[in-house]
Amino acid sequence: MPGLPETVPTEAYLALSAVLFGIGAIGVVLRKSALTMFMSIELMLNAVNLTLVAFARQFGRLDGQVIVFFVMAVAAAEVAVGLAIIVDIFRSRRSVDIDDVSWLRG
Amino acid sequence: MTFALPSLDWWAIAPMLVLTLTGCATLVADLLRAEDANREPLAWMTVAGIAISAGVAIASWGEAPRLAFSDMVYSDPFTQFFTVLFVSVTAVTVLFSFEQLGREDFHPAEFYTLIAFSTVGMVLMAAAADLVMVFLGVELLSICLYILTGFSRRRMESEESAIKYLLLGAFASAFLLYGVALVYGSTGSTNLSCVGLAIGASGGLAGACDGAVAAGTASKAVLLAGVGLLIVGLGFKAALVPFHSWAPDVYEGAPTSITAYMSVGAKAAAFAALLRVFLVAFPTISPDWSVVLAIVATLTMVTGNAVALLQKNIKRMLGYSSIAHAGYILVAIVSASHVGATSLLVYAVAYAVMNMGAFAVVMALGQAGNERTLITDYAGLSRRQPLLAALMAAFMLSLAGIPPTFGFVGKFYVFSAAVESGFAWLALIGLLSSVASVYYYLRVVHQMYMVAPVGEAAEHVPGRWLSLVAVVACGAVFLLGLFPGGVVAVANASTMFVK
Repeated sequence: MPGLPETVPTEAYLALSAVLFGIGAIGVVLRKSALTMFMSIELMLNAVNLTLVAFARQFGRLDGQVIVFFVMAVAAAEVAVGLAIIVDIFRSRRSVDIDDVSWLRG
Repeated sequence: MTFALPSLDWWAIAPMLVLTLTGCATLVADLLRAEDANREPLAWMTVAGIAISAGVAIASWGEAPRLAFSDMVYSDPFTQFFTVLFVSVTAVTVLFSFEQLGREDFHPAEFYTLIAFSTVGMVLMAAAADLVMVFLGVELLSICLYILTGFSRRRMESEESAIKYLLLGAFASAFLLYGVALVYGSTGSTNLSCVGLAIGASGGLAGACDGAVAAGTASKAVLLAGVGLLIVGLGFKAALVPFHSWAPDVYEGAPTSITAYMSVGAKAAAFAALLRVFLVAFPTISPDWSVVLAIVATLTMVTGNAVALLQKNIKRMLGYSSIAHAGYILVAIVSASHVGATSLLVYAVAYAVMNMGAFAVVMALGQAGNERTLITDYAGLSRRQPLLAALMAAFMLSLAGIPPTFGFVGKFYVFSAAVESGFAWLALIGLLSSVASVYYYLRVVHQMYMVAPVGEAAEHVPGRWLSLVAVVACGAVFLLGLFPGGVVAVANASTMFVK
């Protein structure tokens, strides 16, 4: 396509992933539903994955891409445990709003 | 064409392998046992696995330090030191669980499996030679702890603390991971010693660093951003201020045995990882991070002690006190020296002994359906349970750092290492805030000895394992307080990789 660079520069990926990471972090801080907070955390993890892949492509090496697989596996484990706890909370309180979960004073 | 299998140094990760197999074996054994069978065999299986794991770690003491599994883990005295410390804490937690099992309707097999796997995570954090390994160790530990925190499902506080810990823990993991990615981006490697070489460190045990950028070409801004994010991520796991907000809630809500386990084991693991990462990968930029860590240490010591003064619940008080102790331990990392690293190991042992002892007494006083964790529940304890009261008093004095206890020795080494590295002001703040801490520790002693008991507390005999742990810990507090030479020598030998 004329007018566009041949390849997207690494900086563009890094900027995008920083923005995604920021959106995720803001989501965790502002949202009240445990599920939405969890989704925001997933967004943050995937933003990091993008960073890793971008760097790995720049270096022309595979190690950064391999790390992404580890991150995905860990994220899946975290989701499994997280959803189980959220379901458990919902069963006992009929809500996953983090403000309703405040027996302990933080 | 022949395909050669890479030679695998199984012995280097043998302690972790034994623990993993123990965890799997407990699960299988649980399937095979009868529904109403005694639960104790599962606990003894776990203890046996822990003992073998400790034995393997001790047997490999004195071997030449080396990297194993494609430069992913270190097998060196530092790893072995922390392996023995972590499995000891785990063994004590399993002994604690005898009490809790009868009391709170735990499902034991999962409990012991998760305990074993989380210990693998801790050992991995101390052994990690690569930032990816640090991340995996942190996650293995944390994911198991999320479940363990919510283990007493009948208590609302337990599941509430689990969800808080989970959300904030996963949040912090994302920061840790972003830090890893940025360090990788600036240096071209995630291997600790290769990162160190890329930013100008010399010597040490380095593997093949073919991917790392040439020394001196790392982008400093990206690197510092990465280091900052690593501090956030690991600081959360170690409950450093301002990343501590989860800790008091989680410590109060979790089952007491898990609170003890987290406040000692998980914290020590986070510090082992911090020490290894900062002194192997980032020693050359220590002027940049030591100031940040010094400020964090100041905040941690002051906030932890100040808020602990206000607590009415002893689990919460010990939670804030453990935040303050994290501050003291962080001072050892700020020193960024061999003496500082040695003092960190000594302090970790001292803190483990006295805190596990204190929690043993807290658990011994709890009863089914009533954990009795208000500080006023301790009123007149010296008349009802003179032995437990005396033990608790000893642990409180040690936590406050009064000689001749082990707690004093730990503080002495940490603060003198800070003075030696030119952080006298930090040592002074540490001393002043630990003087303030004497007030809330002695308040417990005051309740036990000076205040008449309120109401008629039902007499009950504390579990024998709890009493045994408390007595042994008390003996260690005084014995190692008077003769710390052995521990210091071992700690000194374990930190030879720090110059």
